[in-house]
Amino acid sequence: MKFIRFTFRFVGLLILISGFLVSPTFSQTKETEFITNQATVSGKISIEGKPAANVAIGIIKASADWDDKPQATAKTDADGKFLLENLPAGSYYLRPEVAGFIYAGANDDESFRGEGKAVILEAGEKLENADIKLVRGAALTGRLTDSEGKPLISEQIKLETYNEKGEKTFARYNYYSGQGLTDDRGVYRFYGLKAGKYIVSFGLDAKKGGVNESNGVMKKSYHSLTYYPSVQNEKDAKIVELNVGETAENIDLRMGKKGQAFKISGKLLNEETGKPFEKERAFVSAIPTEVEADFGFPNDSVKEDGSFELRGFLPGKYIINMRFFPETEFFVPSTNFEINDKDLTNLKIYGKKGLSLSGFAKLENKSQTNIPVNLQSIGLLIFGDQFNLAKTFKSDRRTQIKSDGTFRFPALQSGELTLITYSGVFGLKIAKIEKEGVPLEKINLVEGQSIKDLLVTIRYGTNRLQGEIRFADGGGVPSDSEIRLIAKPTEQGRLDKSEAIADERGKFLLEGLTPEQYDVKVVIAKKNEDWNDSNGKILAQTRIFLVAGVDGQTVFNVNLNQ
Amino acid sequence: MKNFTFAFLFVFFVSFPIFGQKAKPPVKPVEQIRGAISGTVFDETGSPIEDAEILIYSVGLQRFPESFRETSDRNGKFRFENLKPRRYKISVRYAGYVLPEEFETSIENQKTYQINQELNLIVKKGGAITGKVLDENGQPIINVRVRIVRIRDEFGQKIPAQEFARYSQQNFTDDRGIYRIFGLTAGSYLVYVGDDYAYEQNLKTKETSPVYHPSDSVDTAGEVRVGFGEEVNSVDINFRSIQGFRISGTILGATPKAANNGSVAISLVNATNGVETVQTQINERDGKYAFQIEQIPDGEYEIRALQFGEKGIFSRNPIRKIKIKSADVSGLVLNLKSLNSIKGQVLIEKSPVLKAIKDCTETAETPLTSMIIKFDSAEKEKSILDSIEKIQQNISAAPEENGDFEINRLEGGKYYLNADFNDENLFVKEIFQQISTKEKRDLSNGLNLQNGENLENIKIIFSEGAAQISGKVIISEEEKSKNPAAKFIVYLIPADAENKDNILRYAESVSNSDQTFMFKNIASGNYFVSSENYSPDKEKTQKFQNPKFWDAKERLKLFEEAKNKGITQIIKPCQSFTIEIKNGQ
Repeated sequence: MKFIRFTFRFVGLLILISGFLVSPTFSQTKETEFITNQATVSGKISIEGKPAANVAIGIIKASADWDDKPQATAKTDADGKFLLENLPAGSYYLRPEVAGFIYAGANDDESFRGEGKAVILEAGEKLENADIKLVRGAALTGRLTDSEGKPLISEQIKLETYNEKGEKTFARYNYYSGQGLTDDRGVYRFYGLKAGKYIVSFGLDAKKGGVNESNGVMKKSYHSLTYYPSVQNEKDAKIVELNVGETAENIDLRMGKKGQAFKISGKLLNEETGKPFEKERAFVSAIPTEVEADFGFPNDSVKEDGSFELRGFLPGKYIINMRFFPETEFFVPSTNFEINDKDLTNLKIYGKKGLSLSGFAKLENKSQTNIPVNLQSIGLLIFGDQFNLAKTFKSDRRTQIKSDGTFRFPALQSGELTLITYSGVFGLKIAKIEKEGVPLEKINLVEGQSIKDLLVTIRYGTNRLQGEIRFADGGGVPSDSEIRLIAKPTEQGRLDKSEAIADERGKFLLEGLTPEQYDVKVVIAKKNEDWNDSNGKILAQTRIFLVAGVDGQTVFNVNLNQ
Repeated sequence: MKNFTFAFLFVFFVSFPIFGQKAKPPVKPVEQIRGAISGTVFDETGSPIEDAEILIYSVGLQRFPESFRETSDRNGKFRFENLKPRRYKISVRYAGYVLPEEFETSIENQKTYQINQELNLIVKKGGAITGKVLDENGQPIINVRVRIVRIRDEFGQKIPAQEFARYSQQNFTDDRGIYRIFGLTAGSYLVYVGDDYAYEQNLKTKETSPVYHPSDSVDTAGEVRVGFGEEVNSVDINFRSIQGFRISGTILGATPKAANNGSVAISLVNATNGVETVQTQINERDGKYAFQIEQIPDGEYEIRALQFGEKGIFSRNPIRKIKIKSADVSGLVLNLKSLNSIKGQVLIEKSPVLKAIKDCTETAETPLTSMIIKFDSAEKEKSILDSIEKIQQNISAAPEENGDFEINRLEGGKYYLNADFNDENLFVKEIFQQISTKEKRDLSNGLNLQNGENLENIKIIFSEGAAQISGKVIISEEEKSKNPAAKFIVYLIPADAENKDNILRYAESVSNSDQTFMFKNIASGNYFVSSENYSPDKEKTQKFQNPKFWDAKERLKLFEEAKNKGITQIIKPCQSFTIEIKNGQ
């Protein structure tokens, strides 16, 4: 989430500068579907046990992009019933439009995950009783004022709660709809909250550091961290306890005196000439390294004379990141700095000529399938430690493959890099990366040596493998866990794989496969765990050969107690 | 007064002496001039504002915009150092507050500042609009995006559509269906729900076009008037289904080799109020560019498709108007055409004889970088989209230190020079195209751009010794009793027959409501002065009305009429004087 938010901010900045930045869209791409044997899903939506009439519900493909339209939509009738029709076999999420409401019972996390309820549909299946039980979310509202009682406007209130282990954590709410942001009266409101205990605060903790940047403005002052009911010490904070559907009002915060925030300033110079860059334009930002900053960071463009200035820093440790736009051959190594009790001026930061990573990309199984995309519409993306600005902040570099298949990433530092595609077309993946005929798992850039001859093989898969997991003890999956399926081609040096989550019934569908031999693993893991090999427990494993144009079928018998 | 400010500036920041020395070439290159803009931000009560962001940006730069940000300190003070002598516009960000001068004119006419000015900026608390969004059953709709668009200014004057983006704001309804949008500049707004990409909004508005307060399509939307510091409540939106139709067609003249993988951007704007209804992109498929836009309600629209060419220059179609009336529109063909650019140089011609003239002595050297060169389209029917694009593309240019300027992305058609000299001593002497060292093509009566043509070597010659005239139109007692605030258009028409067709010698000015008027940057010579009643088109702002004399017939008519009245005004170089004319004279 953090990653996305930052990327958007940065892109926003770039759009401002370039006037118009158009990225390729692929919304025109439509997969061909067989209209025969369509499946349906029906069920009932209830709110606090009563049928919820007139609620919109959609079913969206698991492989859909975030802005894709649902496959089908419906509205509940007076009895809360809905019917979604004309659904091709596939993997879906069932997603009701229930802002302000949350799932009742053990699955309550689902309403926050954004995806909704996972449903795997077979051809012609009539899935019934896909019921959704909701309760009204709790709400919390109050007013934020300064030491004179004047409203503090457009400031984000911090809302924390406790997890199952009793640890303090950020409360979940929809940040994008402006929840917790104060209006012109200083009034804020959170809603759609789970029943539970909440801690409300605003301001920055001078002991820990951080930056005061709100609405893109780098502030010269800051408010000290204050908890409801307007107390400085966390131990004096009053916990707000919310029952299901309850609204807590007058959770007001009155801030104390403001503190002074500091600035950093300096110059960006070309290492070769010792002078400011002539044509190249850079953007600068600074991020705290030891505190998890909540919202926004100071950022600005470097001026023509190489000078830059960022404001809003509390005493603490930070990292400066600079990046050229448009991209050049230069990179600027990230620089750490510490602010004590005064401004940090006259910093000198040097931009250096970087390494490059280039090569040739090819679409391997072009003749086998009708690939809905040209080679030059495929984007390549690299990530690695060198783009990670701080512990909590990850970034990447992107480029477009040219029509002759060549690609190039300039301005890199030495280190390990991972290369992936992005195209908006599901099933399009990097199958192999080779250097001088040797398959690579990771790309390692060595100081002083650019890579010029990388061969990237991209494959497009439309094969599917569907099946079912049968539980030996007849039981289901614990509510905090999920069953994951991972299919990997058995061919040496392959990087592509397909992943899926089994639905409540144990059904699964792996998509975007190519006709060849795969190893398929069934793993049980905690819902919030990353998808890597070290997480979870392998429950079953098998080898399957897929024939072009034919969907594979398999059943796994697993025993969770073993 | 302005001359004084300028002289003041140069005394401090330029080392060469200026008084009475203007025939001498400048000793120091202009590029070394630097200065500061500083000031204080206050609220209406006069209290200084801390932590307001002040943004200044230079006007008319084609390549990199030079913009600078500062934050006010606890005394409300800010200071921008080391600025080039350009023209700067200002913007203040302070949550919930507005700097009125930013919004009381169009962005084009917004006040500009120069280096070594000290500013007092007073921000006002913005207005707020609040209400509920309810579904057909009267139930609150939660987490729906509510947007506003400002269509009239504080005084009820319609805002040109290109300005809409400056005031577009949005917020979401909460769990009670309540939204609140604040920090608003005084004026009239449309408030609406719809046209979103988000999943939830896809579900909600799938069968409908945007719904405006109170429960309408864009054509019958209710205006909401709000003043600074005011709250207007109960601005509810009763959501319902508004039927929309499909617009489809193909695009010709697009190339898959263009930038952004050859994608074409399409924009559909409501022709009544300029609200952008759709913005989308399409790509080539099977050798064709076909498009399809859904959910467009009845009304009139303008459609524009455009593509990035090489070097960032657009190609686009001439704007098409579309009328939707209870049916789909199909088979539309949009033909993309390449755009034009104008490249040239601004030169200042020195006139040694002026030294001898008394009025001409106290003038200073104006940096070319602080001037603004614009070309205005002669097209009379300016479409809404056209005016939006003009702002986005920033087709005015500030010259480089050596006078070079470049304006890109002009559509084919006729254009007239509109120079902002930033120096009362200058007037436009000539504009021509240098075809060869000997040959030049006079362009004083406008530039004709063919589609795809790039005009180069355009020379704009400014000359020193401009005069300025202030004056007043005298109206009779009877007229005064009818309308004491009557306005007039005053014309300055060359009296010498040789200049009767030279646009550069014509000028017009709209009087103030006390009937006073002003002409600046006037070449010396013999002129006629005449006036007529000013009756602006209420639905258009004045800047959209082209000067009458651009039209050859009107120009001749003005000349003949003025000649018949036979009162000649002799204007000498550098002269500054006041005249009175009678209405109808």
